[in-house]
Amino acid sequence: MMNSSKSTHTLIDDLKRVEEIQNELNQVKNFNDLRRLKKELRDIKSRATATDNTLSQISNHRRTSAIQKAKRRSLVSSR
Amino acid sequence: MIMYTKEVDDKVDVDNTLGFWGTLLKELNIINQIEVPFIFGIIGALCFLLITVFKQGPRILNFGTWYSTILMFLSFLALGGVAGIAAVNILNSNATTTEALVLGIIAGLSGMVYLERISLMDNIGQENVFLNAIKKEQDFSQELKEDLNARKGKDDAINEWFDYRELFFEEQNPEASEEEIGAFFDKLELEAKQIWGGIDDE
Repeated sequence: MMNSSKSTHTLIDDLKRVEEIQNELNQVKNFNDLRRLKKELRDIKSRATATDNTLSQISNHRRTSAIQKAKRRSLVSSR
Repeated sequence: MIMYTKEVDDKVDVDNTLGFWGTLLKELNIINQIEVPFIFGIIGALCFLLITVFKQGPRILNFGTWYSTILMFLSFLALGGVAGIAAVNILNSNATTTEALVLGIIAGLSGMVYLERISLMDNIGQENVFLNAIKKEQDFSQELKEDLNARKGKDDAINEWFDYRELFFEEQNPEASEEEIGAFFDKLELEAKQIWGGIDDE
């Protein structure tokens, strides 16, 4: 029943990637690799901030799917 | 006070008419001790870059962005120049132009290695800089992880709350029209704002 939105799915992916980066940080040997990991962390941070799931976004997403569901139901019943 | 100043001046033998910079410039052979080794140190560094490019291809000079590539290129040349000056003044400060030229090129060829070898410091400082940079990123990643976990927890909780309310509404109104659903969601959103107040303000 739990409807995870697309952004929540991205959040899970980002969380996994952050954990991987934390492991890589323990083994990093040079500045180039460190710079790459740093950039990736900053990208994840900006993505998380940009796709901030506000209440209205969640509500709108769920409203749209509920209305589509009702439309489909009325179509089936009219046939 | 006057006596003291005179005493100090006598000790360091500074010509008061020229001042510090004047004395320094008078003592230095600018051409052979600074200019020639710096210029030929840069030429040495350029030669090293050319050799590296011939051996490993031009991609070796790519540092990601054009400005970082230019910055690294100029820094490398400057290192060659400084190594040239250091080499001439340490090994032969009375060098003729030819000697300064040769020493400058040789030191400039591997300026970074030369400066590291003649320096009295070890690489503990560099390692500390690297370790600090790693520590900073580890702290940042930990904060980011906690932030993402909090966001995920909040999203999950909101979605779960909506799930229960929607399920209840569907059971009570199985044939609800679009308008009814819209009105229900308007009401639901108001209620949610009272419960999850402040989420929209983030």
